[in-house]
Amino acid sequence: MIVNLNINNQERQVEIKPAERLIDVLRREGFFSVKEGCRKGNCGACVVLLDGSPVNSCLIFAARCEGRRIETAESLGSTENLHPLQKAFLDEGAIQCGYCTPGMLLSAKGLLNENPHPAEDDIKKALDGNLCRCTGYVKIIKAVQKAAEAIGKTR
Amino acid sequence: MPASLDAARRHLKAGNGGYVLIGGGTGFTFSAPKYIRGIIDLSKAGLDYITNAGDGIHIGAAAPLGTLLKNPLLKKYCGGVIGESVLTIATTPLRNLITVGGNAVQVFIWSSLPVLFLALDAQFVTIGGRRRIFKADEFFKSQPRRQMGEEAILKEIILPRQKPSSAAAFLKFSKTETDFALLNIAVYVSIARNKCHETRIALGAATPLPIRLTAAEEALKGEVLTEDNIALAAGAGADMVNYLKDMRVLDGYKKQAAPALIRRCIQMAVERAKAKSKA
Ligand SMILES: Cc1cc2nc3c(=O)[nH]c(=O)nc-3n(C[C@H](O)[C@H](O)[C@H](O)COP(=O)(O)OP(=O)(O)OC[C@H]3O[C@@H](n4cnc5c(N)ncnc54)[C@H](O)[C@@H]3O)c2cc1C
Ligand code: FES
Ligand code: FES
Repeated sequence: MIVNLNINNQERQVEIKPAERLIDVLRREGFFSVKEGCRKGNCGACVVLLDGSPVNSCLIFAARCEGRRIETAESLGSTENLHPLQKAFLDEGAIQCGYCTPGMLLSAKGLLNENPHPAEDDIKKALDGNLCRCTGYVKIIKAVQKAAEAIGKTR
Repeated sequence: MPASLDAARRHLKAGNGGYVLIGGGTGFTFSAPKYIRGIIDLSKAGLDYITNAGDGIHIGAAAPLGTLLKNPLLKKYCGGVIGESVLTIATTPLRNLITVGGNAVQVFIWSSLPVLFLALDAQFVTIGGRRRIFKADEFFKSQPRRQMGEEAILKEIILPRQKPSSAAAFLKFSKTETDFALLNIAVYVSIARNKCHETRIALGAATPLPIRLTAAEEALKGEVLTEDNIALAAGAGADMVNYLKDMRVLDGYKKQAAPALIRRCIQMAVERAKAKSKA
């Protein structure tokens, strides 16, 4: 079957199998920032934004995303022009192996879309579905605070 | 992907038992049905509403949990108990997928909303099945799918109108915030002339399906809500349960922990109801 997906602001017609998961379709289409950790909704490595809100792409059928807007970490910025979240993650040392990072960035972006001035607790809640086995979270939370400030200054 | 409830019903009938409904689709992680020929996705069937009607708040079965957290009607309902319980379910990205209907129709031992719905005396409106309306006590007597019938669709859940001086509380007890519950407790209480007028107390994660702690309810009804009375009632409620074994804790642990947790949850609801009657 064919689905119409808006992936990172580009309309695409994609051939899928009826019960295919969104994560498999995105990776087949070349969006390798979308990672698979647990395939059970536990780790958050597969998080993408669906119409602006974070969801686990390992637990959603691609067919359900017909006509919807999907954002992966590829949409955030480029090496020359980093998104404030990406820059803050680098500056704060919030990345080690990097496996969790795309999901973290998108959960954080989902939060900042709704709440540009989050308190520390809001950040913790928003990232409750993203596990990081390397960093210990402190630097990640700091990075999100820093990015929120940076985005606030450019508004 | 049916665009209306009627269309969903037609598809389900045409599938002759081979099609399965999905709300958020996250339940498949735990129990994928064996023989499915097709999936009927309810996300575009117009069942994601939350409205206030004469008899209470109607929540469409396909409303994702994340939308419940943002709804101003639900934020005020029974002292904010809806948000309190929804936030105990899984994680932020999962709550954007899991639907209120999916959480209610397929009861897992850790399920939160069935426990809350028992305490709130919610009603369940179905179409295409044996009956149209179920009270929570009937709905959760066995797996709701069995009560509804194979061809039924849950349309909406009705939270009854709030009475003055009433409130509710929800408490999840688990090792970490996002872990599955060791115990889930929900309490509804209404106060009249400083005494307990009405109460419903429900316990989950102790038995395969959530149950009402009728012994605790009876011990409180008509009584002044003192700390001692609440503690006695909590003990009586905890005593009536046959706790299932849980590999995460020692045998007997839940039985020992339950009285204190039930007491704490009753106290939370009582404090909220008292604050409301003063306001
Ligand atoms: C990692 C993880 C952790 C979780 N933690 C918790 C937790 O702590 N507490 C908790 O309560 N839940 C938790 N859940 C959620 C729970 O286990 C189920 O996954 C969820 O409740 C299913 O909801 P859904 O909308 O995705 O339903 P679906 O998976 O779409 O459906 C579940 C069942 O209900 C049926 N169904 C759905 N909607 C309807 C309808 N309108 N009418 C008739 N039948 C219908 C389906 O046919 C299916 O049989 C967790 C889930 C995951 C993945
Ligand atoms: S791969 Fe999806 S949550 Fe782990
Ligand atoms: S940086 Fe390695 S898992 Fe997070």
